Amino acid sequence: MIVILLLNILLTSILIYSNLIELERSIKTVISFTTSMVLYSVLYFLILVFNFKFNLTLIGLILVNSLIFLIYIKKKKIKFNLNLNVKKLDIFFLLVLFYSLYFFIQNSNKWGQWDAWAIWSLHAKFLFYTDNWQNLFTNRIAWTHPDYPLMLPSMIAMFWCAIGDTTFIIPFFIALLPYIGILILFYFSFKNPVISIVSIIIITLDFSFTNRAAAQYADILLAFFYLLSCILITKIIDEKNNKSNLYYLLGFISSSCLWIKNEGSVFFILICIFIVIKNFRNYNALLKFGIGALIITVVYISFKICYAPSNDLVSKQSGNTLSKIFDIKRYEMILNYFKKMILMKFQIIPILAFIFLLKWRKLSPSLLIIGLTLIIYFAVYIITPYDLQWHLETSLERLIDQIYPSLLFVFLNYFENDFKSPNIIQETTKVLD
Amino acid sequence: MILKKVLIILLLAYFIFLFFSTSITIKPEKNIIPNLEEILLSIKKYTNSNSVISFKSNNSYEEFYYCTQFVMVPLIIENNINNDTILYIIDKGMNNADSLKININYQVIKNVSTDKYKVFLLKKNK
Repeated sequence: MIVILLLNILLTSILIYSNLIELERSIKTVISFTTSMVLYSVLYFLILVFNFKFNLTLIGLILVNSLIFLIYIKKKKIKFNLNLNVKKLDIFFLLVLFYSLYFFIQNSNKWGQWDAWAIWSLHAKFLFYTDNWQNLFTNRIAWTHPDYPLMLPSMIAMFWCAIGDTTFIIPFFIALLPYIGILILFYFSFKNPVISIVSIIIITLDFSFTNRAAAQYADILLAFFYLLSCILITKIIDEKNNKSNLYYLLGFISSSCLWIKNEGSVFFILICIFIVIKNFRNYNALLKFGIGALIITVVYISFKICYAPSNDLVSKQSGNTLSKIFDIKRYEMILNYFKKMILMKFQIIPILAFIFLLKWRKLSPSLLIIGLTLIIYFAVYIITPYDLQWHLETSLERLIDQIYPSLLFVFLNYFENDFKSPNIIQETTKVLD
Repeated sequence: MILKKVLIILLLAYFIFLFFSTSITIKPEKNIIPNLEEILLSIKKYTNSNSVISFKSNNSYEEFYYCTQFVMVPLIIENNINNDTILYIIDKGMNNADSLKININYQVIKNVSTDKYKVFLLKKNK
């Protein structure tokens, strides 16, 4: 455990202190931590595939990382400066963070809710047994969806391996990270402190969202990556620099969605299309995005080709797909469920959407991507081989959870753009400080 | 300024204390995994970790079978009686606890009992 943490700190520090990326330090920290965690999950999968020794590989990596880190510090002549300049607002944020943490723990159960143990922790348990991990990939236990990508299970399994025990505390702790990550991203992504506070209050007081985060499903992890991708897209657009190094990060973070859940592929493909359209003939940006996305895409495709059994939504399709497409009742049912769900559990979204329609109306790229993701989710419901009502009841809420923080960010970003005058930001900061 | 720093450090200390104290007392699971672990882990030793085992029980709730699979990983547990080895679990809490009978073609490899369950690992006679 200590070894893994050390490796993480090393990797994190490299990115925090690097001048490659033009971002706020706090967001850089979150991105660095996230990048490290994704790389660990990939690394653990590669350890399993190539049958490497877990401990030896980690020690080797630590040595390599330390070397890179030392060379980097020497070359760039970086001085460490632990700046503890805190504002009143930061203390308020910390208090909110503690409150959410307390509420998260209060809502948690050992091993989480049904899907957490029946899918994610179960997969992690298979991956924990390094000699028999491939037993997972069989349709004999198709109910656990063995075709699902392995980011969450491999993260859990790696920490289990490090402590040598399959304890419930690891899935619990890993479920906490994206939830806290979402709060941190909301607090630091907006320049206007009022919007930052409003955003974290909305998320913290949304008890059902916290409840679902505490369920230990992969949806909140995916929501975190969607949010991070949307933030990066916004930063890229704000930067107006076609050679921005943020393209590397966007490639990496958006491709990570592939490695979390099958739904992530929809979002990633849409981002790829957006990047290609935005940077048509700007080969530099396209290359950077491609390099960023390369590792995860290769690992994901290899996993799907070599290990994952066929997906149930695809393999169970029968000849009546066409009739389902032309069945108007299915569309009505999906829309009704969606309406009901939004009004019951995500009330803030219709309010913000209403203000958007009244005030701005202009679609931002992130809003377009989220909207299209939702439409493709609905399209899958249209042709689902399962009973539509059952499928909607069991999954729609989780799908909306995935896009909920990003949607909130995009709408609040419209508000921020309206108050973007530096004077307003300075004055508000002064008042709050 | 010093007061702010002290406050931050105190908050962080409280945060760490809160995290560890409450996560230790995290609510128990809503499923029966620990009950099954208590009895199935001793059975697991008598199986080949790459084998596929059938599952039969008087408790027909899906969750019961899923929890059994969770505990028995890396073995594959199938909810049928098509394999040569069968994991036969009697849930004493169910009304039909006496309804299961062991087929004469199977021999008992191991049986374990607790106040809640009785488990037999059966192998088909050759």
